[in-house]
Amino acid sequence: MYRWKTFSVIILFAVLSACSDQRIVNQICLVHAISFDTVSNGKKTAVLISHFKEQGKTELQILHTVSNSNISLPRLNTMTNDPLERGQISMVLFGKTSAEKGTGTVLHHFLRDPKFSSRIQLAVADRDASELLEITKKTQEPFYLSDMIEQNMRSGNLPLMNLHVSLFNYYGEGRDMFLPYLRIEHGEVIIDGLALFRRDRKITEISMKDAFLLKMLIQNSKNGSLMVPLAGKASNKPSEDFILLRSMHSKANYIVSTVNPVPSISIRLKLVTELQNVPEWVDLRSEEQLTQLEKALSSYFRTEIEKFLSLLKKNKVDPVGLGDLVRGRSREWNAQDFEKIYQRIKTTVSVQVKIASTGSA
Amino acid sequence: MKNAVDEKYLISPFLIVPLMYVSMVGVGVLNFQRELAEHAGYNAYISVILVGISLHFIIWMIYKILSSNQAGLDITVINNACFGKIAGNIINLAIVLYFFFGAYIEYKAYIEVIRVWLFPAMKILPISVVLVSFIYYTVSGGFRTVTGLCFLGFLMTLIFIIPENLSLLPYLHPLNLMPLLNHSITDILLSSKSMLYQFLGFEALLLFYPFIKSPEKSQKWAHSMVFFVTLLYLMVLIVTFMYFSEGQLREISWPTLNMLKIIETPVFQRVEYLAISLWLLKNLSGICLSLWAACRGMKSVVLQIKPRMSLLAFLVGFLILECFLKDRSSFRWMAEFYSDVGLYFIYGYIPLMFIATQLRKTWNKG
Amino acid sequence: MTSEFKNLGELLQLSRQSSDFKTTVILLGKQEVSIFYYSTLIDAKWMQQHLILVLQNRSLDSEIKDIEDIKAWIPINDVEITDEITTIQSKLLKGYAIVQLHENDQKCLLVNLADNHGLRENNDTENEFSVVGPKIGFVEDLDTNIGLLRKLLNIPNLIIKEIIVGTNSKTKVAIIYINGVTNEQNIQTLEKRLTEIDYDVVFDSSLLDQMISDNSFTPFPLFVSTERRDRVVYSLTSGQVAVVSDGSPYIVTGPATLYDFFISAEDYYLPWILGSFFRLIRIFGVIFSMFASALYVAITTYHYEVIPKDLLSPLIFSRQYVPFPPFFEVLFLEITIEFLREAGARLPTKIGQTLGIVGGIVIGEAAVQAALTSNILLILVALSALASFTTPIYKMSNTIRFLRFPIIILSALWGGIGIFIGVGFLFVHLIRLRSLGSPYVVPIFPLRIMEFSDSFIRSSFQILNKRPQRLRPKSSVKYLPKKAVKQKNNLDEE
Repeated sequence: MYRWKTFSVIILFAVLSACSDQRIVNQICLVHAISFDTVSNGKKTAVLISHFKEQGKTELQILHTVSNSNISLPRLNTMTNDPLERGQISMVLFGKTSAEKGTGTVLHHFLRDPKFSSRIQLAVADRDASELLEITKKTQEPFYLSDMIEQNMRSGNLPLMNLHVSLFNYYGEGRDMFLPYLRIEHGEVIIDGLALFRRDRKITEISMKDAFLLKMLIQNSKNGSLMVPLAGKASNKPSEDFILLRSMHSKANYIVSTVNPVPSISIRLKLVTELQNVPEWVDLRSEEQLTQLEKALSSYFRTEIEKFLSLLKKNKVDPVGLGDLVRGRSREWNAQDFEKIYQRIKTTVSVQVKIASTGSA
Repeated sequence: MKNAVDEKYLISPFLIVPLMYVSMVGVGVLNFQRELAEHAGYNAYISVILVGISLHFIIWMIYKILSSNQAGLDITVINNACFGKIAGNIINLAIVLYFFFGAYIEYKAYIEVIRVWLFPAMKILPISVVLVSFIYYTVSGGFRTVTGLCFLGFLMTLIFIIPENLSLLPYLHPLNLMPLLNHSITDILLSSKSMLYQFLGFEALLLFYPFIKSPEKSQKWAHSMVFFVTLLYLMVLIVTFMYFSEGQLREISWPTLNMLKIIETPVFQRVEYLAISLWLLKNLSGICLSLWAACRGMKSVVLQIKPRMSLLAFLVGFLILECFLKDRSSFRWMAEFYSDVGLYFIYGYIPLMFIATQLRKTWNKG
Repeated sequence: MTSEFKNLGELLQLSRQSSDFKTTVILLGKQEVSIFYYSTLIDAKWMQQHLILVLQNRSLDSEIKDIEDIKAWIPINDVEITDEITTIQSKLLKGYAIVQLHENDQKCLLVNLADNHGLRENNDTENEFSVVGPKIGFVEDLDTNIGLLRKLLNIPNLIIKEIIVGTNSKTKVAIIYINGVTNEQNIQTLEKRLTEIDYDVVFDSSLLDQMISDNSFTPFPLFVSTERRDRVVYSLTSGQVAVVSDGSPYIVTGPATLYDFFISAEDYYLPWILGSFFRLIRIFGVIFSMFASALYVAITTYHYEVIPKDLLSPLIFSRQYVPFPPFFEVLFLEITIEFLREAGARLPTKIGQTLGIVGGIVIGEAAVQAALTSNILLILVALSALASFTTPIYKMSNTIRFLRFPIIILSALWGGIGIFIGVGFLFVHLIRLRSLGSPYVVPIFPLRIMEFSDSFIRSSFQILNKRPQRLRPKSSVKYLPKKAVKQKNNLDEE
């Protein structure tokens, strides 16, 4: 019996001095989105926090502070009645200036801290990021921006992106990061393509059409859609007619033929599409016209991708990961050398478009 | 000479599977990728294969050593027979300490994971008391209870390792593994050393061998388990390498857990919290097995201490170490020392014993 | 067994102190014969008709020389002549009448006049109900119960061994097994444990169940106690031993394993696919019932990160105005449910139903309105209470409801880690448990792949023809299954 007594005393002692890391879900202040801006007198951090007041309605609030450090949650913590908790962050926004000055320290922080999910969405704004947060406030949905981006990756032109993918691209050698580019139009936030980075700095941005091309180049572009101008029958009217097509499946094959001194890469793309909208004069029942259409689309995509690649080379950014392709082929690859020859590498593109269904058209 | 173990305490040969699994897959599976990549980069998978192959030889030797004795006795008795009472007991004590510190390092490493991932401000002593009393409850239940817990740990972790790797598929970049073989042999051997550290613990076989019913039947299971665990490490390693870019991996402390962060299920948004909690069972079963081996070893060292007493002493030792060993550097030093000792234990002591027992056998025949 | 009385006179003298001890003296010819009995234990009408009247009629034309003569006259078969004081004492207290020819005779006649009044007529299975299958249950009488078993197990191999247990109650306890099937070792262990019991009054088999169990420091029942006849017969045929005490409608069977408690007789009456499905549902119910509220505590107290984002708003909203930490909130609700269950079990059926409505609807609704609990938790707790009642054996469902509390406490201390500490303790405890010396969690550990066919699932009868090896039966084959009828129903019978 004595043994049981000592045992229970020990257990009681353990229980009484238990864990002090309580974060009771309604006694904390959840941060859903965070934004980083560079302003004249330092760095501005803004967070979007929520108050769940009524069923289905969420009151959002924005707190911001300016300080020298990049992540100033402790400082923001002094503004709330409940402790700020970062475990439910789903959106990270970089303002225009801060993206151009460099996002490296923030990214490093997000890599190291186990609190953050790998599925966090990152994005770049075309102005101060905190302004974008202000706009999402009125939606009363704490996950509005991240849901919007995710929805566009599933059923739109955006390639698969999240914190992990961006970190992979950022830390990986021979590839560069790209993030969604957000803009405000008529008082609403819209995704206006992608922002391309060299290391941690934003270099340029591309349109949604180019985003689709990038998506095709790096993964299966399923569900992305594109308006393709068609040289019509009445060829005197330049490209008034458009085909709206939706990608059903695509696959890119890369063949690195030579590595030294200047690599040459041939890219073979296969794209299976569904036509959603075609001009009236196209007869979809005619095999002949469809083959012609496939040919026209193939050559269109080839020229567009070539244009897109030369844009990348001009800006010295590599979101496709051509450097990585070459690295896989040679043992003496190194990032600095490759950067020097990047603009000179040869790329040949061939595209094969197949119309699988004429769908609703 | 002791009597062989009573029939009713024996386990069936198949149950060596969870025991081998639990002892070879330690808490290291959560972060071994980084250390491996330090030397051999993304060629480190070769080290895993090398260590796996060498362990097959070691397992074969262990079975030869242990079956050289007709009565089916454990290594402590063989030590006494080979080296005499005094020298044998010194070696036995060293083995006991080796298992004790193995258990402690395993324990400490897991506490570290909890502190970083779940509760940064957690007080260690209360949870240590509860865990230590759990270990006491399990180990005092005897070898069958330890085996049972190992079985649970085996099932629980196996259930999630495979789906985890499958759900990572869209994020894998096979190109990361290219180019093949761009590191030197020395680099790969250096990685192998840190890989061996992950496998350490299976030497408990030297002590629980007499508890296996018809042990010769268990050898095929032991070999297939070495093969399976090698494959498991290889799979985790290759998936990690394909998932992270090399620069990213260098910055991450627990790559396996970090990979879990991408998985989302309808009920749990963050699976790693579940996985860490689940890992507790696997981890405790490994600790229990090592401590059981230490207690069993103590039985034949000079003083003939009762296993229950030595278990209590070990657990109090746990708590005392917990109170005094607070800084990370001394723990790291201890872990490194342990892995060095493990290296000599596996590749020095066991082959030596193998030769000694084989010589004795021919001597006795002739 | 020894008696404190030296002779019959002393026994009668003590017995006369009770007011229900009667002495009737009848005159048979010239002979005065005394009859002693407890009027409360015997059937008075029966005595009048079959003892006194018969004796008086016979004595008209013949003379009594010896007590043997009376024995021959009485048309009752349970009649015995003895001078052993211990036998006389115990039989007297079982409802026998003593017939004494001469005063101070040591040898006397014992006539069974026992009356079975006070027993219930109804033997429906009220507590272990099944929709399909027989509804025959046991009653509070040993002989009836054994008779019920004999009717279904029509073989002489069904052996019944009687042991007397209880220093004051002297209850007959029967060990039941099938000769040639049940392992002798189990019978011997059980017999040894039963004879070693030292207890005053044996009220029910459930008492014995605890006294013969291998480990008393456990919340788990180590023997199945059931009131269903089909269940007991099934256990017996698969090689288990049964124990029943007189006056108990429950029969205890063992050695039991954990999964025995989640088997319902109905599983065998339904097609095996459905039977298996219902078993899995039950096991899921148990897991849910044990861990649902603990998981709620862990997540809302420590791991807010794991809450899916679509669930975040409903969860936080429902807890918004609850002033207590989740642990107290859960404790409050769980204890309320336990109150309801306990009150429902103690009250008469009709009031119990009303109480259920009051408790379930009014209190639940009001507690949410008053912001004492969140409504999500209310659903969870109600569901887990419901799930715990799917367990067919009542004792086990109590255990499961009890086990919830330590797990909730652990989860309040260390979140997810705490829950798994609880799981670890639970599992190690289960591994250490033994029922009649055989392991308790058998198909899982030690692993017996073959026995999974009748544990978590119920396979078809073609597979279930062997007795489970864990019971080490003396003959392992139950029946020879017919080969599956090969049906040629493909493509119009070809």
